[in-house]
Amino acid sequence: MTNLQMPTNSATATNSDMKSERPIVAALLAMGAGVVIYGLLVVLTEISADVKDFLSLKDSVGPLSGKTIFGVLAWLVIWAVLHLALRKTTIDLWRAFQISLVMVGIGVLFTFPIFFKLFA
Amino acid sequence: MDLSQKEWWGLVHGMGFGAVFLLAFAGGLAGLYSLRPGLVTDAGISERMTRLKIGVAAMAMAAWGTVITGTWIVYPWYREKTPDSPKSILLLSESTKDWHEFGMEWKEHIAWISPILATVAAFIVIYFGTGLIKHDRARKIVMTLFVLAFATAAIAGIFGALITKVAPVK
Repeated sequence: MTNLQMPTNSATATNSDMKSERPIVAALLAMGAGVVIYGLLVVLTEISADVKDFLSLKDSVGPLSGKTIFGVLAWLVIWAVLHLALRKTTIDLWRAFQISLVMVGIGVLFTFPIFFKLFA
Repeated sequence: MDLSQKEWWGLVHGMGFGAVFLLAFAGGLAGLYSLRPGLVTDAGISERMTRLKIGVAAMAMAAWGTVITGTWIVYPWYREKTPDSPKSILLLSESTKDWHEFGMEWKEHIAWISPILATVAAFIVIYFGTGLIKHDRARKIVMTLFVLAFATAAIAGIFGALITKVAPVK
């Protein structure tokens, strides 16, 4: 069991009827990781013609078909894995949220055309 | 007064799911903001939570509906390799090509982040249920995700509306 950080719940969240925060931590971290991976697929499509071809699952949609399908699949798989992996690990909810926000920010940057076209 | 099949799907994508998304966002955010001890009576909590759960679930589903119809139904018409497709028309002129190379390129990618954020927001609300009123931190996290989901959808929606004005799918 890894104890990354002691929980520091808010004062109003200490009631005995409060559910565990672990599923929320897993959901937030998976969300961040999923968005980063999706963004990486956008950048990789610009870098590599092979990746672009591989991600073009449907001709009429082009590489966006693969970016979205694989991005969403990666997010869901990571969510499931983290949900199970973090069952006995305590990570502060607010810290997990901050990490996930940074990852979402990175993912959004990766989808910004001026950024990802630097790699074209 | 007739709408073509393409125009019809454009409406479903942008105005159908988009309107549901906007309504659910506004209602959900107001509900989350006021979900605090002292602002809601015990009797009102249960009724409000049911409405909030429906609202956040509707917002997430509307976001998924928007990106799925947009990517898999409308987008192929936009990027058809014909001289009269919107993409071809936009790329024809220096004065309009940025609508595709910046506007559409950002819209098609950033849009997919919105349903992911909205789904996690909905998950947190449904998971905590009435416990959310006592968990101020989780409530603030949901509100932030709600706003970010809306912001990413708004970027996509604004570019979608502007691009449709310059070169509509028809």
